[in-house]
Amino acid sequence: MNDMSSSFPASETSAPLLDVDDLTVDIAARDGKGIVHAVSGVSFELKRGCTLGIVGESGCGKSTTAMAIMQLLPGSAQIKSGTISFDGNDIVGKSQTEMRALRGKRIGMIMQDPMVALDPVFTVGDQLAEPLKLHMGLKGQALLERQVALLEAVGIPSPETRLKQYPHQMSGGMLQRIVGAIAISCNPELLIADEPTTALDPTAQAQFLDLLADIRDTRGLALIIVTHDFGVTARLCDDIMVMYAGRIVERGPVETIFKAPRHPYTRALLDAIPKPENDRSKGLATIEGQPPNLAESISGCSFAPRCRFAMPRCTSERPPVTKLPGDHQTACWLEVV
Amino acid sequence: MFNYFLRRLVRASITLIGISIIIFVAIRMSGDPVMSLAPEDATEADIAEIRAELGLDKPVWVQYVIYAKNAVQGDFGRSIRYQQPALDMVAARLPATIHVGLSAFILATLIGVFLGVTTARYRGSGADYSIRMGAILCQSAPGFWLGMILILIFSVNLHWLPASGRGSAAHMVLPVVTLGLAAVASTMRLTRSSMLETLGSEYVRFLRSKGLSEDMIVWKHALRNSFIPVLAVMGLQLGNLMAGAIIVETVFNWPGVGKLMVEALQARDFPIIQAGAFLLSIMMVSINLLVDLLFGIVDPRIRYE
Repeated sequence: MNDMSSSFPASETSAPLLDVDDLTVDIAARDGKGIVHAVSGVSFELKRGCTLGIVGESGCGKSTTAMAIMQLLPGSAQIKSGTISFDGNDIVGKSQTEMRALRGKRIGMIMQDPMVALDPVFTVGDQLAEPLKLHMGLKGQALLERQVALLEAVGIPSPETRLKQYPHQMSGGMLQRIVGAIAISCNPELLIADEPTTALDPTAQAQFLDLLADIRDTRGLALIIVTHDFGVTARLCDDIMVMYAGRIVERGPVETIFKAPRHPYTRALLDAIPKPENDRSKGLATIEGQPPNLAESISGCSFAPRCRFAMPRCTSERPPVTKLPGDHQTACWLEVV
Repeated sequence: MFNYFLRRLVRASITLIGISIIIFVAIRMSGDPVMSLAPEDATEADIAEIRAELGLDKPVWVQYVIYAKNAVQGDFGRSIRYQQPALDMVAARLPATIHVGLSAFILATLIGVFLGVTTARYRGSGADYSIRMGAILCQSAPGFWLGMILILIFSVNLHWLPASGRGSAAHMVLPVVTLGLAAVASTMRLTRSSMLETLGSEYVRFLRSKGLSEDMIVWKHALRNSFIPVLAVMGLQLGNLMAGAIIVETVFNWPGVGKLMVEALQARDFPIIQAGAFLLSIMMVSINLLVDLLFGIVDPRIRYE
């Protein structure tokens, strides 16, 4: 499942490519009053050639974390504290001009819905050419050759014809491949995929995940996949980070998370995956209740109101991060002995 | 494409026939030209004679059929007052109207689009608020009032610009500004709202993730995507600016079609009004057709079968 013997030698240096430390992002609420604590104290590392899956429900802060790395947060959002170190340099507080030199060149991004990710009034070729011209200075024949090679790399037949077409002339699965080709066009070291398969049909989903794994392995880039689908992480990831209400509740290697999840939220999420052997008459397993309103300050564990194992302490004190064997950690009072 | 064009031409002809009927009937309801032509001491018989000479003694529909038959052959009759071919008189005035109308249109488009894009880009800034406030003022000011105020300030008090007539570039300034200001405002507001919608879309986020500069995103991608509604309104505006010249031409004594038509209306010079309205309608219809064809160029999703 985790192809660590990739054809591209992963960097031997132990320094992580991406090191996020205590990241906190606040978003001004729509009504102008109140602040939504979208991301609180998130820390993680990512090495070259490795894949991290960020999993959680809608609004848990997983996409905001991804956008913070790109420094493409909406105007109402602000990084309150923490550092995002990319290849040893903190990018928090970098100017937009400095960030533009990273975006598309060293950090690529794949969007959720390919049907709306491309500009409808320019050809696919135009949009693929933009980063190549901007970051690599390609033009003429060299540009065309690179465009064709990229479309071939993402498995698009007759690339010369496709380059001249507009987005509305292609299917969703094909468009997501184009988006992928654009994201990797300048050989980025980090690729962030925000719900890359959510908008695709199941066949296209499987194909696109295979493509992502292939891209990662042949190019040796670090990959972050933001998803609500554990199935996606199982196929691709080395590590999984489960987020709830803006915080990391559990983080660890993918096998550990699947086989021995420790946090009740992770367990509940895994239980909610429909399995063929389950008794259908019981219906689907769900997690009772709603995620908390992040504009309100939460004392204690934010999952406590929905947790089957909640103790009095859970609602009054925030659980500390407990380190478990095998690079596994969780924030739950059950683990504090 | 060709079929589409043909269908549009047929529809345009129907529109033109409709317009000509309405104009024809409406001006005949407005009064009797014979009364202003006939001398003070004309007898009943004299009046009847003039009326018969002009063909006004026949039923309206018969008059229209005669008019239409001649109009198809390019003959819009002769001016009752000047005895010259009506179409020639209108056509002679057309360059002056196009001159001021097109200038106002170009001004409105360039400034309006620039301000619309800029206010959308810097949404919520002080400049955004003040430009929008100014736009509402410009749109609310009626043309005849604005024209007179501008004359009062720049011609009467400051003596900077001529108040009326046509000739030098200086003569153009006040009519063009008067005519174009409201169009600047509406183009700006429409561009702004259309741009705001586009700038919030996913593909703009993806463009940013490619590292493109904000100038590139705004002017190359977002503007073109926001341009369809702007283009539609620009088409209507161009027509309005040509036809709307009627007021401005009167205020500034500008020798265009509008002024000719106002004078003809006062004298009940039917053929001039019919020819003028017909020519302006043809311009309006052609502009609309042109705009429809431009849609396909701006947005590849709109290509006509």
